[in-house]
Amino acid sequence: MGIRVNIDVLMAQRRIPAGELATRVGITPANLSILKNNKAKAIRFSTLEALCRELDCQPGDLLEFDTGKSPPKIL
Amino acid sequence: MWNQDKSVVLSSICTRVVIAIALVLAVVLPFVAQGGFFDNRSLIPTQLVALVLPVYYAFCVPALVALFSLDRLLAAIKRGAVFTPANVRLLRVISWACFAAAVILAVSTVVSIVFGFIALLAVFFGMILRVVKNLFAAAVELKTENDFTI
Repeated sequence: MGIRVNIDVLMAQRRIPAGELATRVGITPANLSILKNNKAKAIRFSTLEALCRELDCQPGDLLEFDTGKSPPKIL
Repeated sequence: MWNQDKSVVLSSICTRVVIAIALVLAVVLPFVAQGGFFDNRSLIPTQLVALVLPVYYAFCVPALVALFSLDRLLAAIKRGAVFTPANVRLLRVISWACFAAAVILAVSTVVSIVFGFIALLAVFFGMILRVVKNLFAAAVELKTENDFTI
């Protein structure tokens, strides 16, 4: 359960490679990878704004509330 | 010019020197207790050393655990990895080693009341380290959140 970032879906739909999107948004490819892999703890409004601008979408298209069970934590 | 890196190196050297002293004493003290090192005119009574010897060996275990953990902690700081879960664990180990040493020293008051005062100091250090550990844990959480804020 949590917030899922659907950036990979939108990137595939817009046919934008990760490196190009990272450059256009002004973040590092490593940080884009963190977003893609849902490892991010938070997203700045400025980043969200840039992503929406470059992917031509709304914040709701990027972020989704996932009601599914979270994977068990490895202790 | 004195800087933070040199300060960490100095701390690391001091820790290793103390480890070496502790190990050398562990080897040398039995000979002192047998009177092999000093003659009758020695200022150190061999009987006293023989009495303190078991306390020293029992105390050495948590002390060396704490010292080696401290050395690893300093090595991590030298690498630039300061606020990490591994360092929090090391601080926890050092803190518990202080408490273990305090228990050993408290029991050793049957030998000498002086150990009681040292035990109080060990408890005090252990408590301070627990607070530092809690601070580090909070800092690690903040750092993780900051690192994963895009």
